[in-house]
Amino acid sequence: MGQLVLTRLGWAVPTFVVITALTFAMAHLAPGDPLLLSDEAAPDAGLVALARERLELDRPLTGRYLRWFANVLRGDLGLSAVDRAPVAEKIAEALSRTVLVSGLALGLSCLASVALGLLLATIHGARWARGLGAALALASGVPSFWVAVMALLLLATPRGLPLFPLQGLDTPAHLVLPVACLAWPTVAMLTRYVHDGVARALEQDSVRAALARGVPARRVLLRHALPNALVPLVTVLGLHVPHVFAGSVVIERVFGIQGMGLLALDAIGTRDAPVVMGVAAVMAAVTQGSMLLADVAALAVDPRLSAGARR
Amino acid sequence: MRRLGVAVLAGWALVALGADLLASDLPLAVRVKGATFVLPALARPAALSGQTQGTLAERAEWMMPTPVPFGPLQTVATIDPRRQGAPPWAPDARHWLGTDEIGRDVLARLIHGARVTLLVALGVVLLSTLLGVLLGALAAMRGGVVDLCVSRLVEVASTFPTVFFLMVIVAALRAPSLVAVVVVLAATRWTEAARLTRVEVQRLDGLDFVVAARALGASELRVLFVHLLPNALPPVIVSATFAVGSAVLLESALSFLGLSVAPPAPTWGELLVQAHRTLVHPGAWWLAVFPGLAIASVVLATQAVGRGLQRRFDGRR
Repeated sequence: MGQLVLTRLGWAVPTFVVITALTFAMAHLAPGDPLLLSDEAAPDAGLVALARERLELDRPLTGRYLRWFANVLRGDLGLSAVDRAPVAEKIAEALSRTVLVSGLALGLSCLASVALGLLLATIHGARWARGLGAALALASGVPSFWVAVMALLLLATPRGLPLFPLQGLDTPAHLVLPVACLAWPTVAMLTRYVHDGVARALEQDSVRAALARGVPARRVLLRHALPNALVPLVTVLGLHVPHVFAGSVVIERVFGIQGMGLLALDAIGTRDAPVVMGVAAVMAAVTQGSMLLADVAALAVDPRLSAGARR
Repeated sequence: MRRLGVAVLAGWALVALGADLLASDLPLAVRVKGATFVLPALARPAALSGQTQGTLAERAEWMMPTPVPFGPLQTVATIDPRRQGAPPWAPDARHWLGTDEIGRDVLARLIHGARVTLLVALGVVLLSTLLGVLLGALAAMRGGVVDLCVSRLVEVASTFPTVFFLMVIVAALRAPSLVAVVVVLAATRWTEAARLTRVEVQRLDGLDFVVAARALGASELRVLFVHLLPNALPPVIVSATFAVGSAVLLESALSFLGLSVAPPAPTWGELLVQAHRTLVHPGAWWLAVFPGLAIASVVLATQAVGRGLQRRFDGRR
């Protein structure tokens, strides 16, 4: 286990560097000058030169990247180029909202997909099992942001049933629609994995033997088949975390939640490179972290893997 | 199911190809003041500049209108100047799917949006599959360091959240062209094809017929292109079919964020932006429903075709 974590970390650091360096180059080489984007009349040339020097806009890119990286190691993400607020504070605030929404969405999708997958596996062959399967296939083809817009239309505007608030993230009621819409495609995807896994586990001799011994069917399903099905689920889930995180951009846009996605979108629009870089660093860390977690979790649920690693 | 999927996709392809004949500001054929114009929608003759089917209907001796007599960019000033009340207008006999906030016909924009959306999706899938197959084959044939590098690249690129990466790149391009969007999307979507090709080529490389070809003196390139790739392609083709659907989803998500082909070019995602913007005021449901159905129909159709192909290839083996 320790060795695996070390190997992963060994790869994670260069990957982090490559991703942030690429983003750094793109964020800084993008056309458009952060100092000349405002709609006001042409700014004073001296002031522009001063600001340019303060923001280090005329230094070579590599040196600036190395300094940025060194600062990140010290926990300093710099100041926003637009309003001089600390990037770390902006990110902490946005991150809390995104983590709340995508964390709830991930939790919901795990519970829902395990429940649905078990249901599908137990009612295998029933007529409405096919209907449920078709409904899930249908769900995976429908864009989640369309579902979100439709949900707002039907459940938040006077035209439908205004049960939920339209925009923002102030009360628990605000959470219902964004979480459901973000979980939607993940549920459709994960259910397939759980169903396949349980169905495959149910065909194994150990299951038949357990049933023959007189173990109740429910216990066989939950104690024998489900753990086997969870092994692939854990890996898939770990690799899927960054996508849920990033997928929340669209959901945040639809529901007006000031999270990481909208922060990045705004920063990109205003050429606020320090904020873009802060978001990129967090995204890269989340990506690498969830890959590591997926590996560790796979080891935890599947003892065969650690036995193989020891050999 | 597969037949239905193929039919839906073929239908959309025809709509995309014939967009100018289905919905345009100029008619299919018209005779004005003794001069006859055939397909002015494509030729755009100078004599008809500034005219629309609405104005021509009154002046022309005869006219053959397009099925949807509006262009995708026509706004309230030229589309229905005498109409009472401000847009968005609900679907009626004139605008079958309604109009958006500035009076543009939703059906006309859906038809022309199909062109952009499908072109992007097809371009992305072709380019990314080509790239993936080449890289995957290279990794499998060369092995060693090349294999390690490609595999690591696949792993990193397939876990890194594409939407965020795309946001940065597309923003760096500022008002990106269609080609730029295709290249950028393809650069993030090649990993699946590479992974599948690598596994298949590695599996096939030790088989007797390949060894025989090598023994007969076939060059590495000949082995690759004549013996290995044709046999390695079925799973790649299946995955490419599914990829068309996810490219459509990704393109519409990007244009929903305002990061795809620059407006006022109609795309399906951009139509949903209109829907989102008008939610607060009148709740123009027709703006949300129809583009969403269009996206879902393409995605579901590609999935049906993909599953059909998968079953057929599996049966062959």
